[in-house]
Amino acid sequence: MGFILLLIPDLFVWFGSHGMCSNQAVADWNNGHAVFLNLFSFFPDNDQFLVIFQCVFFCAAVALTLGFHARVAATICYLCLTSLYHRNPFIFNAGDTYLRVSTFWLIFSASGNALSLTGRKQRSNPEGNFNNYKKVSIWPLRLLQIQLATVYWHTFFCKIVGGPWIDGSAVFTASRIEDLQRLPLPYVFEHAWTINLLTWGTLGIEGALFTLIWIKEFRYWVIAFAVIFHLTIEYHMNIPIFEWLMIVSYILFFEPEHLAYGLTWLRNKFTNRKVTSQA
Amino acid sequence: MRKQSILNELLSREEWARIRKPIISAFLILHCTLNYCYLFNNHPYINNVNHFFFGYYAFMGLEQAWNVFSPGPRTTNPHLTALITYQDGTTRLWTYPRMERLDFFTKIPKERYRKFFDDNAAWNIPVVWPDIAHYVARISYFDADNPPILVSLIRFSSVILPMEEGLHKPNLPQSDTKVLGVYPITAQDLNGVQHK
Repeated sequence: MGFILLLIPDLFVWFGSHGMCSNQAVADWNNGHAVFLNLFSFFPDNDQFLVIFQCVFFCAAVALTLGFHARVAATICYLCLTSLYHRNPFIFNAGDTYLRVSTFWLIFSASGNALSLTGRKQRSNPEGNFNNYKKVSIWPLRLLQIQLATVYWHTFFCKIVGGPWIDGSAVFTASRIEDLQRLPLPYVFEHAWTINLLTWGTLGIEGALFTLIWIKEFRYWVIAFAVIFHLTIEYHMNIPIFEWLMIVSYILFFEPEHLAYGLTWLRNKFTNRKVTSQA
Repeated sequence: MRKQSILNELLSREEWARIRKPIISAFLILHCTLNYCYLFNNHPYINNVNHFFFGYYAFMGLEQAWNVFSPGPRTTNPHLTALITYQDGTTRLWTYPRMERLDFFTKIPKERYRKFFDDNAAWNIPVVWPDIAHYVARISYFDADNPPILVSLIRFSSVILPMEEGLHKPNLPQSDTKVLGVYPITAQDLNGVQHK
């Protein structure tokens, strides 16, 4: 939903019939690979369709968030994300790519079976603890986990071949990119030892996020460091959604019983009641 | 129920149970393999796989690359301006919302300007330059008797100093200049613009 709301102020600038990127420019850029999953192909240069498209996308995103016919909603969201990407691929960052490919995997998952409007009916005891859901295939969850690990796997191997990441200066250069800066980090980016530490620390955390995260004993430690890592980037750099998306995605690696315990605790905290029934 | 009946018409329950697992497994293995091949395209065999499946992979919008800041972060600070020349010879400068000049909240929804201009259009996407020129001409067309006739796109940039030289120093001013293109504007390009 955040993705859609952030697009609205400049919707016609990026996707409109008189915007900054025409259909022809994208076709030229793709060198004749003209067939793409793109709903805008049916109504090219039609600004009314663009408005309807955005409304449908927003409704689907709300439905997916609430878990109302989640599989259908995920399919619509994936179609919309892919269409926007194919209409103007020059404005999307890594967070948007992650959103798009994860939504593809989400179509195959049983995300609407728990903590959702339509899934509530399927719980054998809706008033009980959050550990009594119908068993589903683990594979969609594994694929989403693999997707998340792949992000760090690829970024790690792309970085270790580069001089700045090995000599420890990469974070200095990144901190001097003016258009990315959000809030200043005093001291940290002005001293070689802190810059080296952050550069090599980044490699260490990204390395752990596709290796150690699979080992139960290390998992929550890795996630804790990764959350700090992403919050630091969020504080200093203006890359909307991306950091929060990655942080939220770590929930994929939580043990179900820990999630159930946390959710039960939260519910009891807010409703001030004790739950004794178990599934 | 309806979904079940359609499936029953195509396949019996036993048949579906028999082929379900291999089909799903093949689907998963194919897509995981394609992701791997696309991301780690470093061998002729892998390149052949990518070449064969690229049409499908690109059609589905599954291309992905997680090479942000790699092999190293961008070492330039650019921005792009447009110089609009009107029929009477006057000129006007236009630039997009530049992140470093926006406040904390405004820059959040405007981040796509950074991606579009600073990461892409200012450097390696010449196919969008005419569209940018036409867009700028349209939003700069204020007087029906004095239309824009020319838009020049100019990139300004500066190099980010390496750490050994740059510590405790401010960034260099963005004074390296390159004219990306000069685009004549026709009446057709301005068609439909509402004057205030």
